[in-house]
Amino acid sequence: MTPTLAMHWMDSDRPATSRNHDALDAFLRGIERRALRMAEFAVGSRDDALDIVQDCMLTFVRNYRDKPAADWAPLFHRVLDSRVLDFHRRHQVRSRWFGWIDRLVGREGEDVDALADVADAQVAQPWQAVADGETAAALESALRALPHRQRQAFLLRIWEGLDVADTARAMACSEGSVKTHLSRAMGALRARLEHHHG
Amino acid sequence: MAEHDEDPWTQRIRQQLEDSARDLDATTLSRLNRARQAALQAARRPQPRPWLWPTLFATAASLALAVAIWPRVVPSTVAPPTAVAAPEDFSMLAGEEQLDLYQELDFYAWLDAQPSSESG
Repeated sequence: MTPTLAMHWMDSDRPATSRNHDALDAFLRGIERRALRMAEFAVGSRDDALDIVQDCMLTFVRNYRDKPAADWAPLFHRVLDSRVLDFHRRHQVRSRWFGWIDRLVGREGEDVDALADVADAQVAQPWQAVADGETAAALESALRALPHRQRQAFLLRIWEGLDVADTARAMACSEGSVKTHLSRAMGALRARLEHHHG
Repeated sequence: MAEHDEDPWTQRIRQQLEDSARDLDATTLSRLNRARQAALQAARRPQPRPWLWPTLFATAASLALAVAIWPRVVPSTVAPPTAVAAPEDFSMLAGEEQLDLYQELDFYAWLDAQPSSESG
């Protein structure tokens, strides 16, 4: 028996659940960092983005693990988008009902550290150390400034590499809408980043 | 996608995004790893069925309600006592000469129950 055949035999001898587990693990490993960054662009906070991705992984595995692997990427991003929208809805409701408390109380009583939001020049973010920090910050700022659907279309098509049909499935919209959102996103990003990216 | 692949501007943007994902800090990567492991552990456990108990409760409540209101909704199949007289009662009522006999029916029944004077 050749090594290749032996590996195939051993693989076929393993339980289907174990193979599915390995495939799911590989899929999640491959997508988790991009998903985190996409969620971070959408909600503006690393911690909130981590919570969203964790919830997204759980929901995806519970509901879609038995779907064909070719469908996993659009389904995962569909769940991720749903979690991001839930996050924004919760914050809207919270600010509607409890925003007046913040206005009444003000921030005088809070122990606010004015230096908390200032970046420490000695501890640069690793990814900013690799890329040009100014350009990376400009890109992040430009992506956050995009409307949600435009940013989603841009990231799924350009970064995630989904085709138009899968992007439309992930965004729960028509393929024509994907093209429209992508075109507008590209135009807005080019306008904002022309000084940085030429 | 092909039209964007040929665009150097798009390639630079994509590379920058890749760099930002590649160079995440160790704490973030650890949290991502824990989140992935938790999700995969959940996949090994049997599927929770959050709809099961509400469904069972709703079914039981519906059955109890149906049993409780059934006698009120469906009319009884037992015919109520009717005031219409039987045919033999018509003949009795029609014959005026026999009414006295029927009115004294209790008396005749009592009389019949008395021991005969001949036997005593």
